[in-house]
Amino acid sequence: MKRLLPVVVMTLLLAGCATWVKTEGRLTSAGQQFTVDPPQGWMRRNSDSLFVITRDGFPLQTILISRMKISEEKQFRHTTKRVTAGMLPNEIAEVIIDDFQSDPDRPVDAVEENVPADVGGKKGSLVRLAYTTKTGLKFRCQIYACLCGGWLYRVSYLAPARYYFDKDLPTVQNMMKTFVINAT
Amino acid sequence: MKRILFILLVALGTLLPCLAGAATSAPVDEDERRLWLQAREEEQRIDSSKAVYHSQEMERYLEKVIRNLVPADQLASMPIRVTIIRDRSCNAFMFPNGRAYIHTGMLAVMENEAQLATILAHESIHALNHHMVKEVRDIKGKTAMTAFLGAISGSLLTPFGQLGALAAVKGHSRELEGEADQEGFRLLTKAGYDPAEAPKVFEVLRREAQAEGSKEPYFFASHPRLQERIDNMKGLLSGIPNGQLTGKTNAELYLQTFGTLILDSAEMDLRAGRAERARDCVSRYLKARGDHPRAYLLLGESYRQDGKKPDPVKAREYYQKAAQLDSGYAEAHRLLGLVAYKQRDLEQARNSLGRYLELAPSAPDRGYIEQMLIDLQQRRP
Repeated sequence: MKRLLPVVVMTLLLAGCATWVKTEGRLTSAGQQFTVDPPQGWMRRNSDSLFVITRDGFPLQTILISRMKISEEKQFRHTTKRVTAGMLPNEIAEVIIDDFQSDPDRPVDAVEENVPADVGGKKGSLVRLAYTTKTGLKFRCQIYACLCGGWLYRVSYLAPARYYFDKDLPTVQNMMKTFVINAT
Repeated sequence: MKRILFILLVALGTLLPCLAGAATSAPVDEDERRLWLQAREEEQRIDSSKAVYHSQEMERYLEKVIRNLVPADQLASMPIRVTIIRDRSCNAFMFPNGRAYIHTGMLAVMENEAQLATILAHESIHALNHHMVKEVRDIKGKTAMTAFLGAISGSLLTPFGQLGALAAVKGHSRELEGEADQEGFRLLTKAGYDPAEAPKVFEVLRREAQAEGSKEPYFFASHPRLQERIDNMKGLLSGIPNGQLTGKTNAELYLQTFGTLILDSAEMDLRAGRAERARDCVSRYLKARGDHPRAYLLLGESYRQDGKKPDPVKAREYYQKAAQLDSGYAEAHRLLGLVAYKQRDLEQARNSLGRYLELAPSAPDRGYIEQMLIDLQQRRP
């Protein structure tokens, strides 16, 4: 997901139809079949498969909500491991961690947390990682993931480790309490 | 106090020329001096990063191979030092000042010392014959060197920096690579290594490049260049009379020395989804070094995590072997429990997961395991 960010930025900047809107009230995605109460007053932009939410800009804090069909040929950028139907939450977490750890440009400093979590009403996992970017900036990333009906849902929160991550983490945690996957 | 100071100054005066003499290497001219400065900066960046794989034993071994290959007088004017980088891709590159880097992935796929020597001999020639500065001049002309170095940073920026990109990703010109093949081969045979191992190295690398789709920074970057290396090596080999086609390979010693690295590399391969390559490496390790709990565990993992054809039955067999060899091996019990849980072997799952938490009470995945144990408890008849 960390490597996805520049692509996300470019895609959204180039997509003429997508515009930044201020988050207000409940966000319902009929296409991705979820509802969530995003942090109010932040900025949101979305494509068909990805929702990006930030308050101060991408480099400072980003929430990404996405879902991916598990039949997709290339699921992850750095690992060729796959998430498959019937995987246990810890197995999904393992693939997500392995994808991060296979990126030679951004070495993972630590897997700080890897625990079961309720994700949108489904059995899922919560992974928290610390990594360093090419320019030496330390980042932390918290990923919620679960499988639902052939889809992998992920909500990721990325921010610089110093100051920013902790600052907005409670907001993200509160948002996750409102996240509901409507698909079965 | 003045006397002590005087003694110290005299000692320093005596030592400094010796130290300077020890490092007799120097760039040949202003262009190379600039390349060396840049190389030093990039070295410092790499050396202070987490990418360096530290092992004194392995570093000593690499140093010994270099000393076998390169005559002492040449090493005196161009000291060659090899550092291992923790990276699963097959790569090796040489900075113009004799500082070489070799990836764990490269060391893991080499089968013996003669193959390693083939790579190191080739890379040493690049430094000894000042290939990088020649190449830079050839490409852009002397005056445009800075611009050239600036330009490559944009398109070829890699974790190894600009020079690393030039050496590792792009490679040198056909002529310079040919020279490195030829002279490297001469060093190899002179040091008494089996020359028949030389083409095998590039066959191995070609297989690896095909498996990876050559998307990563890679030794010789593209398949045609690897083919050139193979053709060159075969040509050089055909020039040796049949009776002289012998030499040392030091396969056992190699696998003894790099055994741990091979397992570490297998672990990286598993993370990247390269179960087959991990299995090959671990199998070679087991063949050379005999039973080892971590090797069996990784072999099991290569079957469980095989994206093309997962085999949980075989995986379980190897986890069992790992746990038998080391009953206190928490990870073996975890994986045994996990597979048993998915196979609905409730008793085995309960025992193994329970044992795992006993052995690793503060395991990071304790939450998942406890959930599974609760589930197993509920399923108890």
